Amino acid sequence: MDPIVVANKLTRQVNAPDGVLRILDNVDFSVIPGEAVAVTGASGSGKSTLLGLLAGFDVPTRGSVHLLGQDLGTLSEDAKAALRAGNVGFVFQSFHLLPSLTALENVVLALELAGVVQAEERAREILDEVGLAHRLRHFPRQLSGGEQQRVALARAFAVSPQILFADEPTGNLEQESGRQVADMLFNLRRDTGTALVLVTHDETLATRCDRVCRMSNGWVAPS
Amino acid sequence: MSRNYWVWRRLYRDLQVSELRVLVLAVAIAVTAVTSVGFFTDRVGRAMTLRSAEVMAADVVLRSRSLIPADYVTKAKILGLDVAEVREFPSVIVVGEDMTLLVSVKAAGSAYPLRGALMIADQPEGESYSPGSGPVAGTAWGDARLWAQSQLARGATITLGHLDLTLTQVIKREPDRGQFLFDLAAPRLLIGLQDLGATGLVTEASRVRYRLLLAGSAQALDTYRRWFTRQQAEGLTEGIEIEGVGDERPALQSALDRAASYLGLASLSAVIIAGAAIALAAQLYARRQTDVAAVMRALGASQATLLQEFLLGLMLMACVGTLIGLVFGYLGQGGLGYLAGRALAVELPSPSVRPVLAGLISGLLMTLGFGLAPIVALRKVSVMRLIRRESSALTTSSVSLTLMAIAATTGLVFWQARDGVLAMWVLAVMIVLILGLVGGGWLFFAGLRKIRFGPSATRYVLSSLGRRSGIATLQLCAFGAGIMALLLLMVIRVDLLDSWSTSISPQAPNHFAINIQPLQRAAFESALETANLASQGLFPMVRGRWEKHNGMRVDHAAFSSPRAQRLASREFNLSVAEALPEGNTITRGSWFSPAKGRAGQWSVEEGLAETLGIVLGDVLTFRIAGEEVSGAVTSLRRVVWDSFQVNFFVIASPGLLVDRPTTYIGSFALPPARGAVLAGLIRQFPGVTVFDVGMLLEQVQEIIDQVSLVVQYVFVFTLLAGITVLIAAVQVGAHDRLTEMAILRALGAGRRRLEWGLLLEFLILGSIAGLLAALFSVLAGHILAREVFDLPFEPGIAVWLVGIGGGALGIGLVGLVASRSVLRNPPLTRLQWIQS
Ligand SMILES: Nc1ncnc2c1ncn2[C@@H]1O[C@H](COP(=O)(O)OP(=O)(O)O)[C@@H](O)[C@H]1O
Ligand SMILES: [Mg+2]
Repeated sequence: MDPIVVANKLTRQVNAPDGVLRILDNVDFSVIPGEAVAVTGASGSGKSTLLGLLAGFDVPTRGSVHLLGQDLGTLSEDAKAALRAGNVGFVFQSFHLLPSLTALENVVLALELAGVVQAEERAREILDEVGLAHRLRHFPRQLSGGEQQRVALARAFAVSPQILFADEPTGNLEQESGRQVADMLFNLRRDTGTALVLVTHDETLATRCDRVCRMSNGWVAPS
Repeated sequence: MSRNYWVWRRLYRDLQVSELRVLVLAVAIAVTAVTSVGFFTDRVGRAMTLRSAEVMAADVVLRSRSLIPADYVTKAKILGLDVAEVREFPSVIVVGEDMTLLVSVKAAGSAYPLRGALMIADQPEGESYSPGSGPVAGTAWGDARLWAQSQLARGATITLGHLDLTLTQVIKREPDRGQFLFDLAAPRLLIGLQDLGATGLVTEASRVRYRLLLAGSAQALDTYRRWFTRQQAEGLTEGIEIEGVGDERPALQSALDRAASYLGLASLSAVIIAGAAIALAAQLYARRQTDVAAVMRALGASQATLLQEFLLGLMLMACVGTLIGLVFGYLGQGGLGYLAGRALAVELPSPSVRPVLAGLISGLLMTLGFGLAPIVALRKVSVMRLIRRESSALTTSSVSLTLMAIAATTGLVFWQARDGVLAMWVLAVMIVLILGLVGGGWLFFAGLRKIRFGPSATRYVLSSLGRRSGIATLQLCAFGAGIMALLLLMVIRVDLLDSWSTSISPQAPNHFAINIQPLQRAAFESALETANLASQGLFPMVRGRWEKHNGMRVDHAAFSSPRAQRLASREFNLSVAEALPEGNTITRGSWFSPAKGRAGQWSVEEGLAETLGIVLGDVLTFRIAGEEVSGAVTSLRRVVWDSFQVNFFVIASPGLLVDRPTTYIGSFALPPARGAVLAGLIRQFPGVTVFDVGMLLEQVQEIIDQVSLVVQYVFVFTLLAGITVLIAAVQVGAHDRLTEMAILRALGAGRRRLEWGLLLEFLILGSIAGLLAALFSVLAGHILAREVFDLPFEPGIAVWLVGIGGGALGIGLVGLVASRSVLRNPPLTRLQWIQS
């Protein structure tokens, strides 16, 4: 099966106060459709940087990324955004819901940007699945951290993406709601068959994935 | 649901975010200032024109010593102008058997007056009312003095020349009264023009002054005047002079111009300061929206979608602010109109739509100019910031921000100021201010970073200020602009306005005497002295036409402006002077000196020189009594027209006009109570004509008073804009600083210590901003006083005290109060809030 995302000899370096800092060094990485891969490693080992490059948020210094069959290096920023819409979902450590939209509206917005018609119906449905049917009209600031992350999950899965990138989705949550969010994440993924790249330093969470990659100092240890 | 639906929704909710409210507020203030001043100057300008027209009873008047040919009437009628003929001459009426009375007769056509109102009454003590038309055939109206002196009753018969007339009405008010002395000295008798022939008084020898009154649309009047100028150029207007509102009244014109400058300055400074507030607010808004933009980008929105969305939001806010501004502007000008209407004792014409348009355009233009750059930058947001907090915040290119702001300001300034010189200086001062603030701030913060002493809290504040110098400089600029607005208000309001109001002294002459023959000169001077009337003395005056400019024949029609055409074609009053007349200052070249030899030299008033394109070194030739007189222009002079002294556009060097037909002109101040002196003078010197400019003087004083009032009112907007900037500036960086404070607090720093740190930071920013602002206000005051207003300027020490002290205390307090809630709340709330 063709991989859904492939990174080839990915290198990312930045100019730091004392010389060039190499964050990623010749990383090879791939995920096939439906597969769940965990990326673990110490803080500062380059996990988020890798995630950003895979999702097309950032541009590598050297190497290439193919996402959904497209070479990101040849695409403009707008083309990358268009590629993401409806195909790629995200969950961030600090939720990143739009503060001036309600829970429902946050989900509807993602659906509309993906060109889905009857967005509201679908949004209600998925919010129901994450157990927030009664909080549709609440604003992010009226929700707890766990609830906000559930809205973020609903937003990500509403469009039935082919791949989901999650960066420490439970990192900001206390244990109980972290566990709840993780359960929902894996349930939704199973139902939709979405591939997953999960960045985490939580080993138990990592073991729930099909495969675990360990990073240290810009290297990915093959699993 | 359409995409725009989201924009509306988000905006509606974002409006609860204070940056947007500041933005709306700033736009509203700027628009209010522009519209209310626009409405107001528009209305007052038109009222002033009407008022001046009233004094002539027409918009334009032709004057002549002989009958004005019928062509002039026909032409006016073809153009659709209203026309009224008036003839005036001194005469004698016979009352009863033997009593005679010297009167000033005015025979007027039925349409008289075209502007202003004639008021009459049935009895001297009766109620006055406005008549439907002039006296009918066989009747005459007299003023109160005529009724009193003749002791006649209503219906009595008076004889004027060969004609018997019935006296029917009392003239209570005559709009164009008081132009000539015999007018004032003798009682008025008004008859219908149709009766004039029957009196048999109009002969070759009689001293009749003919006037043709014209009124109508500005366009028709303009066409008429162009036609007249052409006639004049062909030499067909023998003896006919044309006068429009303000033409012969440089004093009035100059007061109106200066008033417009003050108002323009006031509204401009409000606009520019509000612009700074918009820039700050937009910057803050964009910073808050960065994550939103990044999320939308992650979800697949294109750059165009983002731009469209945020731009729509910005413009929507601009519209809300503009609408609020328009409403307040309209209400504001109503208030101004009321104040001004009372001061001017005239009904102001109702507002026109032009200012609405001006307000609308300036609101949108300002928002775009000052707010667009950070909003546009939003679309380039990096999604990485969602996973790596520290990945840099968006940086608006400060170059593009500055360029856009300068472009918008320049556009607005030149469009609004109407006065190019003023606009240029205001811009220059603003740019220098900003450069000065940025430069001064940079130096200062660089110095701060080096500080290594003092108690730890103090040192912490200083070095943290130094490290955040980018934001702190922005804040400094904003504080500086805000304080400068307030100081400028002080400088302009107190110092400049005062010196303007006193530029017309109570000793200002209110009468001009012309046609004083050389032989009468000594006698007239001593008569003035005997009567104890303050006078600057008598000045020689020679009338001449401007024939050649650098040897080329002057072609009146070649001038593009009607004013230049008029000035060039008119007879000039040339004078001769040994020394530079009092109140004149040389702006180019130097005053006549014997060293240069006695070859012909001219000194020309700078405004005239500019209008007619005359520069230093040009050779001007005038035709005086049939002969040509030439000389080179060796100096340009500035003249304070509203001082009401006798002044000349062109002065000749001694010797140049020797043996040319010369008369003398003088001015003197006559207290109102001493009207009898005037009658004595005129009896003694029958050939001398005396103008009463008291009315004009009053008008000018009125304009000054009223404008002073209005300027103060308009500066309230500057004040408001300044306060808005201060609010916005406190908000800038509050986020970062408060986060820092919350962390320190979480680490256990005492509240007192943090408060002291904050206060110290704001005190430092405030006093530096105050110092720089005071410096630039004084500089601006000097420049404006010299280059724009022609007034002396001596700033008091108060500017410095208020600037530095007020800046430090005011901003210290505002900053402290604004950030206090953080200090009171437990640190966790703040940190959580920051997280989300
Ligand atoms: N743009 C950048 N500039 C400077 N340093 C960076 C930049 N991006 C990442 N880094 C550094 O690279 C290392 C890896 O970062 P990151 O990918 O966020 O690690 P992780 O997510 O594994 O904690 C860190 O030390 C981080 O500070
Ligand atoms: Mg990370």
